[in-house]
Amino acid sequence: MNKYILDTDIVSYLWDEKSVHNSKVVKQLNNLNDDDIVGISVVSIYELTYGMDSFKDEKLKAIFKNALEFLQSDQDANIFSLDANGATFFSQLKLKYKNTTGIKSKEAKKNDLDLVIASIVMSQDAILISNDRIFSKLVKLEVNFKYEDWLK
Amino acid sequence: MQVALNLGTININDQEVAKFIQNKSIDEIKSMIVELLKSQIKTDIPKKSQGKWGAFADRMSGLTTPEITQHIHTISLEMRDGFEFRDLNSK
Repeated sequence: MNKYILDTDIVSYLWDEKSVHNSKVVKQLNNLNDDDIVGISVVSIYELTYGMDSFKDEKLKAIFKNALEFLQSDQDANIFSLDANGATFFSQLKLKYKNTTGIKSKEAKKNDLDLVIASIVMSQDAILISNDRIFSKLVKLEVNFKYEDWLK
Repeated sequence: MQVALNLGTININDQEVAKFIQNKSIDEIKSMIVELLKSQIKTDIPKKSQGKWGAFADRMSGLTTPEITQHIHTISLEMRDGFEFRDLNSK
């Protein structure tokens, strides 16, 4: 049994049937076992909710709202929250990231939200599914962080 | 078959779009244009679902539009690149 956390970009491709990436995400989901667990992080819920609220086109906003509510109420989809267990993962990963890249504290702040997502994933002993390049860097730094890019 | 496109100068008046691409390389922008063109081609995606997560994928696919996908990417970039833990005033 594996636990998968879909990042925001992957959810957007899954929702959008016209995206060239949709079939890749659908294919990967088709290959999962029934006892696998799939969900999204609470950070994605925050991003998607802000995205929905900030949409100026009322018609598209209504479509967006419906999709978000549909996902959140889906019988099989899980939402994974930030908890205290992730703190140590966050701390260790951030230190490794700063020490390895030599990046300054001010610049490293830009990746804090990515590190929070990675910490949720590690805390859940899950696999992050994303197309964001930062995670391909983080996976090389931390053995506990598992990541796959389904779009490759 | 390969086709070379010479698009000349593209003027972008939308501030959100302009901000989004200003730090992109030419290769990244070219790649985005190719992906956009691909998305315009109607393709038959196999709809045969397999198991619990195939059914989930069927339920989720087609809920939104390319405009929403683009907006999500812009918002996600804004949130992740702009996210900073607050410095304490008491320092």
